[in-house]
Amino acid sequence: MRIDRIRLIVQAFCFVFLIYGGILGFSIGNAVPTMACIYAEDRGGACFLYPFQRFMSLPLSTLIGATILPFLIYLGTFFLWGLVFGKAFCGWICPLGFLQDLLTRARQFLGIDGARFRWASRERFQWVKYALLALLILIPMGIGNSLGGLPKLSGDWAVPFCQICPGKPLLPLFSGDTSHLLIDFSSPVKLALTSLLMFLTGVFLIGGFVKRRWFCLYCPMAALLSLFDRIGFVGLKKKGEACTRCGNCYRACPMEIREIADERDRKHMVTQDCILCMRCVEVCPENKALSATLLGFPVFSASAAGFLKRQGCAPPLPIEDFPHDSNSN
Amino acid sequence: MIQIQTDRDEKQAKRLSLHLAMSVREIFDRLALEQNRPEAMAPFDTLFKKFAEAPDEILPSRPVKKVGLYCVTVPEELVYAAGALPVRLCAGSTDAAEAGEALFPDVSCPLVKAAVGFTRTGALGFYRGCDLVVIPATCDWKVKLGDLLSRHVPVLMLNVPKHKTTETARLFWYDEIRRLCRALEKLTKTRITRGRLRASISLIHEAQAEFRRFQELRADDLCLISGRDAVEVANAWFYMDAASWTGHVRCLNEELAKRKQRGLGVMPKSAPRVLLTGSPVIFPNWKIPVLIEDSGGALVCDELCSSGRLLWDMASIDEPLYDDMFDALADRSLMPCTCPVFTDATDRRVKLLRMIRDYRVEGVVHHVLKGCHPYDMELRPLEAELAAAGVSQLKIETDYSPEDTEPLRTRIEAFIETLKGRRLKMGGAL
Amino acid sequence: MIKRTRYLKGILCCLYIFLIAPLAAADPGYLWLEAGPQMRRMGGGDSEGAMQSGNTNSGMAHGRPVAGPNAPPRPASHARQVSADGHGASDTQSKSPPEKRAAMSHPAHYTLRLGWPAAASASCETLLTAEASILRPDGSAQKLIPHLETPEAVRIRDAALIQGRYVISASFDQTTGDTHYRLFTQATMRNTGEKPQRHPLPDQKDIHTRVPRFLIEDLSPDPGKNFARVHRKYTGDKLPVRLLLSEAPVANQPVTLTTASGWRQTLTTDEKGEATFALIKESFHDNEINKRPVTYFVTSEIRRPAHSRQGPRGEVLRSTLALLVYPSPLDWESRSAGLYALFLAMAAIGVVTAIRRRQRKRPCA
Repeated sequence: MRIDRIRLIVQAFCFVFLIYGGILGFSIGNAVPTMACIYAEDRGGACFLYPFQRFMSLPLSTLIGATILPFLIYLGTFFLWGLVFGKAFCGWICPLGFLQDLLTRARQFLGIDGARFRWASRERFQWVKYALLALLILIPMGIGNSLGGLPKLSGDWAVPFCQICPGKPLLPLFSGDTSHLLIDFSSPVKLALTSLLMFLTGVFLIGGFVKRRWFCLYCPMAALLSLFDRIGFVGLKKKGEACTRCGNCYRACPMEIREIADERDRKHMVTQDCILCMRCVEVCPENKALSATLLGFPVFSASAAGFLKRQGCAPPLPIEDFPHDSNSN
Repeated sequence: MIQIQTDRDEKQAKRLSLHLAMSVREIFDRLALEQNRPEAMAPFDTLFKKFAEAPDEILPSRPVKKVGLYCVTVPEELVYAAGALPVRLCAGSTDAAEAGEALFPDVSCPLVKAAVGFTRTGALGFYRGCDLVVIPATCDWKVKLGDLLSRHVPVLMLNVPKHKTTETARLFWYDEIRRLCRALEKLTKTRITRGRLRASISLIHEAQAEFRRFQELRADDLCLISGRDAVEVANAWFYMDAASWTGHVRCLNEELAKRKQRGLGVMPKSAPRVLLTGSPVIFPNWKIPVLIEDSGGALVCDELCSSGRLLWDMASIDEPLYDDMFDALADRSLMPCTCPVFTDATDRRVKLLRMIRDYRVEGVVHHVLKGCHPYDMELRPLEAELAAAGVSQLKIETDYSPEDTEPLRTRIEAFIETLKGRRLKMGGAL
Repeated sequence: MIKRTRYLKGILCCLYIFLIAPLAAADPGYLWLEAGPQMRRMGGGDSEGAMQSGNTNSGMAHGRPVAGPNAPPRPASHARQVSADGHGASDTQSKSPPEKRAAMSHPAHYTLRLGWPAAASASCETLLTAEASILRPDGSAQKLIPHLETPEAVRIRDAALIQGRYVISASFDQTTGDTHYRLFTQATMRNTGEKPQRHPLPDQKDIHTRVPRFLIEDLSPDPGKNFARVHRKYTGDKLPVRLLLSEAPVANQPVTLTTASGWRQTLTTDEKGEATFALIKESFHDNEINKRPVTYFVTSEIRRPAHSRQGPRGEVLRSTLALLVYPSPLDWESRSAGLYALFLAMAAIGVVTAIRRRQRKRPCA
């Protein structure tokens, strides 16, 4: 079976678990580093970022005083998740990623060609996720503390990232909750944030339809999970001497990571944008040029035979049978 | 005047046909003496014998448009998808090269000369009978080839970006491939749809699957097939329909697999394993493989655009959509291509080193056709790098003519002896 | 602002001492439970949120729904009919945490108040004689001892460690002249926290000494098992109540809803003892949007002659249900605007994308 399909099934399972798991009383905690929205009522686990922003908005004295222990436990949980699964959260678990993959499937079903970034544009947007990460730490800190003597921010800025994350209106929809599709007029900040949210949700839906994994490029969670690129249990290794630089992996990569095809001297291929979807391993026709590793041991390697199988290279055609309809034209 | 010209051309054509037939017969007379050849080589022999006996029956007789191609950088999938038959026109005949010589400078690529010779004289019908000839502007000779051929056949030049790592190059090439697609659609009046594209990619994939299996069998310690036969198999791809070629190679592979079980090789185990790289080796110019194997070397693999590289790189369908499949075809024909006309030589070096390891190669023969400047240019740094990796090498500069066979034989024999000596020194058994 | 409230407080105290207290001595008014002193989580108990001002608008000084870091956000599904009894759960969080706290639980923490709804009221030390009890989700019941936490506030407190619905009730007796006042009140709260362990239930004896008990029960439907949610009453919601006297429904009994600003509505209970109020909208907004909750009261009173010959001749049974009502978010949120914005954004981006792709495709077409 193609990894791609297995991945979709795993994603669907994780989606159901994360969105509906609460109905059966499952929960894997609130420090899950994936976009399992905390606003979804029946969730079976929740995004790390919401409590993180809450913690950051505590006054610093409280944070490193009374709540230091829960905070550390919470960070430790996140660290364990990240260490074990790392970027596999993005490719295999994240509900927002799953939604984008579904949009891509829908587009493929409709036969509409996808779009790709120009290299320059892609590099131009590279910083966005780090900026978002910095903001989602700094703005909450500005609520609880007066940063650099500035006045404290109003409470309307609370959990700023959640307020502009497209997961907030979209994921609760799956438990029948449409109440986040709104514009809040109660204050200029709220008005701005909710309008931005609606805009970004629109961008998410259209962009996700046109381009694969379009929003993952801006995801601050990816920036956080990048911490585990090198040390995480799951890895992606490249054997440079087997690579022909044919570019198949680059073309198949939903995140359009160029390094995977162009860099031959690099061994660890989990880059800052990699979502460990293993698509590159699937489409690599060179034996063992790319392999997905678990704790350093290869678990899934590229091979010519596997490539041909996955490309649907059927059992032998009868000779002199092709092109079938060349005479009719 | 015109009459005289035509007469001369006709005379030349006749002479060329005659000479070609002679050299083909010579090859096959020699082959007939050989024992221990896989039986599944027969269809390929039949094909090449037609060069002497029935030049008009070389191509499959189906009434489809024929599209002549030069170089490996034109994706044949597109031609199949348009419902036409691709014919690779790169030529290897020394007589044809002589026939085309008048138009070229002293030192120039014999392949192009031969192609022009065939086209001008019409000795082989399909050189003129093609409905379209696609020439990628790769090396300098191909760049000018279009101009020479366009008097006889409709020509489509493809602009190949030489520095292929940049984005502009890729996008440019994607557009060129689409231009080719439109031209083919116009030619065959068939719309290249997603389904057709996918079917043709699958067709080539099958051929490539067999080809890879064939290469794998060649890597075996036993030397299951001679290097010349391998070149023959690859050369047959030029003129055969993809499906029938795949079928024949499948039979051959099965036979080779059986031979492997029986432990039946074509060369003794003592034969040093040789890799051939450089300028293409095209029928009937099998001089170099034959010389290597006559001298006792086993030609186990080659890195030639006419055989080893011919069907190696595969297009990957990521999403079965129009754009993606086009890009896949464009990528597969350009990106992994190790032709020295491209600026970056590391791909070729890495590939050679990998082949040397995979096929347990003991010596590398660099084949440079006189006038094939790109290979010549790349040779020195490449030689230095391979030498640094401890590889024995021999550089052969030659052309299609059989005149220098004997000096070459001496050199190659000496090289093979060196390799044998080296094996002894390394403690290996003969 | 703070100063002004202090002045106001002073004035009100004077008012209370000189005017209302003598009156109140005659009639104690109603007894109710106010959800515990609110502490702004962010501010660490600053003046704004630390104490209620005793003003009529006795809402929480609690500008927006903030909960603990691990608590879930406010559900915006204000249109839900269910809700209301969770306010104690979400909003009760004490500055001084003397008791053991479960990870996600909030203690039950209530202030006892005596007086007239929607008018000045204060806790007074006499309330220390009140009787309070809690019924926990695991079935255990316990008496709660009111204590004077601050000079002004008599409070009851329970750690409320288990998940589920808590019922806190209080009663207070006072005899003035020849009338015996029996005042009752009840509050419910939901708590997240640890799941209850189903050990054999403790003795279910009624631990109340004061009978008969006259209670107003909040019949809002159970908001479900998701205790991680905060459930609230919003203006516009319905409030079904039932009157119970010694566990039996009281029919044809007038029951009054008093809003925070003093507006009243009186209904009469049906034969099942039930009545349903609509929580009408109050004027929450002046210059800026005010999202603070206010307290609504449901009260009922039974006057009847005393049972015993000696002692007071008349008996007054009064019961109160005090509930926090949040202004409906519909006042400042617009879903249609949200949808319009979403579709507009989608259309705009879609068109731009389509045009750009078309332009890009043209040269090779």
